[in-house]
Amino acid sequence: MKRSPLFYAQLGFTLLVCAFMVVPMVLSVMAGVTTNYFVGIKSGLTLKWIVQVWDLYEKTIYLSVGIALACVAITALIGVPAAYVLAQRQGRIARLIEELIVLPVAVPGLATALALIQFWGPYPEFRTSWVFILVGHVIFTLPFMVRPVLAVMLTGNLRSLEEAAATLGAGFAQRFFSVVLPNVRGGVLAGALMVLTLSVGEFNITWMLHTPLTMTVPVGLADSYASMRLETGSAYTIIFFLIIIPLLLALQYWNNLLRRNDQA
Amino acid sequence: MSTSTAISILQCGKTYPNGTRALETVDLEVVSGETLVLLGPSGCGKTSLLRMIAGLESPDAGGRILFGSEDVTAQPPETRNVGMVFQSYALFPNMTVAQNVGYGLRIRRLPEERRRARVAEMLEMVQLSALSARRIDQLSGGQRQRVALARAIAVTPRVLLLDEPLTALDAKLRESLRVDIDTLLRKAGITAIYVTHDQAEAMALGDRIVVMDHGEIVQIGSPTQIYHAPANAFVADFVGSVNRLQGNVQDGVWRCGNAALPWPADAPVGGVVMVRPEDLRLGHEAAGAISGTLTARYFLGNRTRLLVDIGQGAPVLVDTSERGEFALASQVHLRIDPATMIVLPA
Repeated sequence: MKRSPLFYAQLGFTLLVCAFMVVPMVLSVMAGVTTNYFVGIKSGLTLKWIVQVWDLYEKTIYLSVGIALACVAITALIGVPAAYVLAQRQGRIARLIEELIVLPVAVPGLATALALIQFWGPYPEFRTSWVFILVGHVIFTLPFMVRPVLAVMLTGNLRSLEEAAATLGAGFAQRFFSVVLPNVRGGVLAGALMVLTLSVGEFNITWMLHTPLTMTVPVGLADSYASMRLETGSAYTIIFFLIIIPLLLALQYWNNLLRRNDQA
Repeated sequence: MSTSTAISILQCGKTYPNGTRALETVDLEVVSGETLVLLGPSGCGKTSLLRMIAGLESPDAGGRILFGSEDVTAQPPETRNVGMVFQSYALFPNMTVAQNVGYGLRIRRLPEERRRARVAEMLEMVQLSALSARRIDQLSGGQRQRVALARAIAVTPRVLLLDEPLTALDAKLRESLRVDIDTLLRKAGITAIYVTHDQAEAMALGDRIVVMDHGEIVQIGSPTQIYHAPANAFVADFVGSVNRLQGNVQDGVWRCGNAALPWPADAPVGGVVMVRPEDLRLGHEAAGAISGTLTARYFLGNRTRLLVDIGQGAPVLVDTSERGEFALASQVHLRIDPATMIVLPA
């Protein structure tokens, strides 16, 4: 089939946009495995920067993944019931709460962090624990769980499904677990994906809340860029990709698996 | 299976929080084992009444609902033991056909073996045994409706509530499912309340029909009573087509054109005369008939609908099963059997 010039123009434009986004990443990744970035590739390839980062920042990786998974669990635990209540109530107060939940996304992370520090400052044990960072992440990521779940709840005929379950004898808990949850699973998974990525990559709030012992990956990344060679920082970026990409792929795979089971 | 419960609705009205008055205060007795049809245009309160019986809405203060002698007014839907078929089917998309039908049994913790037997029995009843493992989105509209019906009946409910169950289907399927539902209800001997805005459905299914309008019950009666002896002009108009004929009453005789018919003794003073299109007969002579000009004709297969201008503004509708040419602009003479004349208060 002969393609029109417009097709090639569009293809060219798309490739250009991709290059615009991908090339800096590739350069950064390359820097992480180059012996000397300023000399260039001809100085040779090496894994020593990656090893160095791993030795120095291994703990930040575990902490980041731990916080992100805990964050997904907590936002799901709070967000799904919250979305359910918001979907049931159509009043003005419900809409106001819906907007309020999104507020931490609009307010600069620094401001949220400051408020948390001011309030929890008097409790040093909590203030210096990793749970303190988790609280910040939950506040910031909660709307990303509530919104997609709420959207799914409002689009389907969830209300009549629940009513049908009720007339068939199902009490509230039975309805919630056998009918509501399975039918909003798509929204929960979409939310979980968002929350996970946002939590792993969150810098603003975490930077304010962290202590030297509770450093997450993005904070560690800033630390390494600020205090060490450019190659080390870039190696850190590689490790960041190595964590987040498999995590996302695993979630996506799980999602597909569930969907396939549904169809089987 | 023979569960049949009489239902009493006592002084039930419904006002929604936003002030909308969906149902005026009504009383209604549903006889055990009968199929009662709630018929009316949308917004007449029929669905509100049905949802109240299901427990999905509660009546305004003072209203009571009895199942047999048991007052269920304060009971939530899950303890009322009703079966409900929704207009949207409301089948659970996360379950198979068999799981949908067995849902209520699972909730009731029926042993697996008995549950399976009951589901199989229900699926056989609605002729869907072959599709038991299918997902809901793999079914046609008619099949979904039958699953919904099987699911509602599986729990042996005290009353079966059907909320416009056929509205979403095409005309042909509607008719065949109507027959299926009728057979099923008769066989089950179950008390059923059926909401519809379709008068043909109401006629075909109802032992009794409750005609509703603007939140009020306008008439309760058998299909023939509702059709042949409507309580008022609204019922006459809503259930089938009807002609209003203007005439004069003098000395106990009603005259319209050349027609002269005895004025019923119990007819209200100044009453309006109505005649169904199929009750107007075509005659050959002008004497004793209402004459007019044929302005339009529509061949409908089993009958022909004629529009006749008799000089009273709106054309008169005439349904005839005669085969003929019915030439437009020709003179037509219409005769009325006095027994078919409906006289209602103006």
